[in-house]
Amino acid sequence: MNGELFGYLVTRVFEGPSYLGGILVVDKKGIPIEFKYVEPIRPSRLQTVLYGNTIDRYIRIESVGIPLIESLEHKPAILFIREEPFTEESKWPFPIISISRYRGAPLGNIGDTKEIEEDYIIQMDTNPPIRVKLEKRYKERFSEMVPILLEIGQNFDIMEPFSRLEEAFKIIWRETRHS
Amino acid sequence: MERDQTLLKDIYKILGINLNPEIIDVPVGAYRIKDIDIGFDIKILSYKIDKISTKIDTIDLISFSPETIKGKVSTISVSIPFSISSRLELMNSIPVRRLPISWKMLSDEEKLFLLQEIKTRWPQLSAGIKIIGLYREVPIERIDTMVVDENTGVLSFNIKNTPFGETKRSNLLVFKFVEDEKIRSLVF
Repeated sequence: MNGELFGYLVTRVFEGPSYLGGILVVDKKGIPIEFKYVEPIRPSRLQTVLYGNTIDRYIRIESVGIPLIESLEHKPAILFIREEPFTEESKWPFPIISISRYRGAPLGNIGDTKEIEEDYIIQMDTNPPIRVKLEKRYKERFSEMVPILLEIGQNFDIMEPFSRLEEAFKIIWRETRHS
Repeated sequence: MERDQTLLKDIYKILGINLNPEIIDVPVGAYRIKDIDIGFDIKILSYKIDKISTKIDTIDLISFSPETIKGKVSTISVSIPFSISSRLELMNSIPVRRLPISWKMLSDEEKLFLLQEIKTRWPQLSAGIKIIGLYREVPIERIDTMVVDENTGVLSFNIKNTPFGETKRSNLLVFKFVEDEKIRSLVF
């Protein structure tokens, strides 16, 4: 597993509703290497009616996530997501991992891991631990990923690039509304 | 209408034509006037004789098209189109945030080097230092602007829009002398 580049994928719904999605690839120190985004998508009323309650998932996956991943020039070793429904969709040769801050008690030492329900908890740095949700086919390979995750934790806060994407969305959304 | 037909029949008789005219009762949408030669190949039933002379001027009755109800099938694409844009310069303008590492995480050699360096550079200031933040692997050469939050120690920096490539990184100490409020930095 090449641990040089890491991807972050976020989709966000703005008023309308309008969907915006972006993918950021950073190097192992968290420096941006590639950033792509899908221009705001506003489904028509007819599309909203026809898709029903599948529209949110459809747009996030088919109109935002998959096209963004496939457009990448720099393929990441791991693609990090938050809540997006991607973990079962992967058809790429790198794992997609859903990460979030674990609200429970910190683990004893940096590098400690434990399994909770179907997820893993890892103490990556001095911040609260990270909850990791993996694709089924990568679950057995979690131990291989731990050193990579810990290396990230030594270099930057693994959740921090998500906030950069959110910041970029705000700028893009403002630009879109004023154009 | 029968009276009109009889009248027409009488006119035909005067002309020497033995026909039974029939008036077609359809709404008239327009008139197309043309000259026709009188003859038996004419579909006389479709014409109303308007004027009789050496020729017969006829008025072609063009009826409205019949009122029919036809369903129109519309195909509307339900696929949701998207457009991908690439803007690394936008992402580079958004600050990268780094949390400081602990002084304890430095090796003894690094601690010694830093203290000696501070003493050499600022020999006149010796009452002690307050560390604001220590940061590992900062891409100093690619940083455009840099800000340190004195309270939290969070380092924020923007990246210059330079092509992706191997970036030289350095460790960074940001500190203040106790007797001097000026923030200073040291790359090591």
